[in-house]
Amino acid sequence: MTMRIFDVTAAALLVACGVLVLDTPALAGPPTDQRGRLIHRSVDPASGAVIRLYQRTAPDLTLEIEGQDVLFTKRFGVASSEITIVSGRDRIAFVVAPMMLTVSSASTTVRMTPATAQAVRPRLDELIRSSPAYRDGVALLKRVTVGERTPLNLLILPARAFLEGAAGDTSALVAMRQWARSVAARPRVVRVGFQKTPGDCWELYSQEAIEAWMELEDCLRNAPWNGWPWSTNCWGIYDIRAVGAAVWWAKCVSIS
Amino acid sequence: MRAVIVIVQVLIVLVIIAVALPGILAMVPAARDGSTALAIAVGIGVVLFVLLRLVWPPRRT
Repeated sequence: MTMRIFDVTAAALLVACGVLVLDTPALAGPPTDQRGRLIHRSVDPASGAVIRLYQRTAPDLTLEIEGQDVLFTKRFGVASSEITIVSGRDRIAFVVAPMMLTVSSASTTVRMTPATAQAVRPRLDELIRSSPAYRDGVALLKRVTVGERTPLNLLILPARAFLEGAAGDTSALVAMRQWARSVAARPRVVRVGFQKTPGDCWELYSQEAIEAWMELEDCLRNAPWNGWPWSTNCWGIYDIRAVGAAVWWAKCVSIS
Repeated sequence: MRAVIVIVQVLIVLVIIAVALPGILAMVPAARDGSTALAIAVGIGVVLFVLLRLVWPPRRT
């Protein structure tokens, strides 16, 4: 009977090992490309769009919303802000730099500065109005529904207001005003943060684990006498820290 | 009772892995990659679990 339990347990452990080894890419963390590191990924239940957020440096973020045949991209935090919408074969890009707005499609590029605004505005309006990518992008952003108080809403709503404003639609602007009023009316501390990925959990765990080991080495080196019982202090603190870190990791990846 | 023993053995193995892993990560930089460390942890866990099953609790002969 004992052997049977042992066999079953060993088989279960082997299966678990196999599953974990096959799943290691997920635990190793998301890949990094020119957009930076993937720090958030979710699927919007209302539109079915995939929302991704990449981080290149601390303030350099790229938001991507991928709907059916439409890809909306917005890059924040650099000297200029860029919005790109690709729908089928059509593409439109907005680059907002200090004192200059550049809108480009596959065939045309229009630049507008405060000095040229009056002359260029009709061409700009025409370019935006005639772009199927623009219409699809705005429609996609309208369909996406994220929580009012989530960081994603703070990224999506201004982009929607900007794009809709280009066509004279102010509904997103009104939504932004309402949101700002509702926040101001109820002052409180709002916890803002993106969900940690298993890769983040591992990175934080390994930092803590290595620090715990370094502390143990320092403690053993500085103990007045080497060996028992003086080193038990160091080991005791280390054990608590190491087990605590492991439990934190398990919680972080939602195993426990 | 046997199920309790298995649970205790699994817990012991997990604690030993938790205590051993920081040392491995600090001494073997190549193991800091998540997948490698996981493979090492699982390997240690399986070996320890098998050893623990064999030696504890002692069997009456």
